[in-house]
Amino acid sequence: MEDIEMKNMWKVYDQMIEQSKVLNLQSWALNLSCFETLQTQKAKSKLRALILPKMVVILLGIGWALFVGFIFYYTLSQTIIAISLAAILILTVIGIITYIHDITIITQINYSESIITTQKKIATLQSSIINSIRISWLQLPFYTLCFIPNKLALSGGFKFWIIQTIVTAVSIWLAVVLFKNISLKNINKKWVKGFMRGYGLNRVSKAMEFINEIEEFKKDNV
Amino acid sequence: MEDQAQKKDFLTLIEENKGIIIKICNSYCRDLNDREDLTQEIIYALWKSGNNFKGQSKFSTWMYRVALNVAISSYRKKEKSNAVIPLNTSHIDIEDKIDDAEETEKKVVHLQQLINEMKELDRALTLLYFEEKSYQEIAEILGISETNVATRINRIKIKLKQKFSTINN
Repeated sequence: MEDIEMKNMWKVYDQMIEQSKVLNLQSWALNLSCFETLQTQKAKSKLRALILPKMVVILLGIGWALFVGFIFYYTLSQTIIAISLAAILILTVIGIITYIHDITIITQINYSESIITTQKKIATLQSSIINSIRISWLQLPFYTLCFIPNKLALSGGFKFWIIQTIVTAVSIWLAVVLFKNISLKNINKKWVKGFMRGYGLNRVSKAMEFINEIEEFKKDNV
Repeated sequence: MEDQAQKKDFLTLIEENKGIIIKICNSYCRDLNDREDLTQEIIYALWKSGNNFKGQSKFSTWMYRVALNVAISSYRKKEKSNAVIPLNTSHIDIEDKIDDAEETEKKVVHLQQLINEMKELDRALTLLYFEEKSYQEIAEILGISETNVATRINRIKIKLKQKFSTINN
């Protein structure tokens, strides 16, 4: 099969479409206003489906940040608790900012841009929850410390600190490993994929695979 | 009045380019209802994005960008249902029109089928190639370099030829 033959086939395809009345534009012309209203409703509901879950998370995040902030304010004198809560608060705020950033991107998606640019934006949005997961795991070590008041820190004794150090060290290791590995470039690692599926995020994993495909597609040396 | 004139102009443009819209829909949806939905979605997106067309690129470049972006996004949402369709000509609706068709028309169905099996971005590239767009225009629509377009098209052509000969044998 030669190149020219395939192109000729494509021309036959054109003729077949031309002969068929697949797209009845005349009737659309009469009903364009109706059609426009219907499609506007569809577009709005799609946008709502994208934005609404993120808005809910932002509101929950703000509620959680206020709660942590409130406890932080009343435990300022308890050094370890205050430091832990401050770290949790900062990471929660970063999470909220990430979601606000996502909403901004959603409103800026423009289909007139190149395919690669637009599709990468959409896929990045679908996979953006990964950042929240990474950030939430980064909080883990601070949760192992945020219950230690000054009195316990001073009177806890050797055994307490040995156990506490082991628990915190393991949680730091786990947080760092997950933060480093749960990323776009590692999506092909089996355990990362499995971990993502554990979150019910098959769609995110697929979006990330698509980003990899896009990156691959952009490379000149294929 | 001006609005009516705008709508009329728009529909004329769609009429002139309906072939590519249908081909894009056939390439990214296999279910007839999905295809109709996608056609409407593309036309709506073109109508709504009309203000974004500033004349910096050709009209066709802009139109292909919008249409393919809508198609790929829609395809990715419905990927699960699209993925399970087996290799069978009955899933291509133009088949109805080729019941007594000649060999060439059957080959067209095979060609469309082979395109449908490609990855989303390769599919877009192949459609643009068969529409005889220049490498420069394809590069602009997709957002990659001309060298990349040329290399990828060569690879796709080789694969298509191989698969075609397998089907025909």
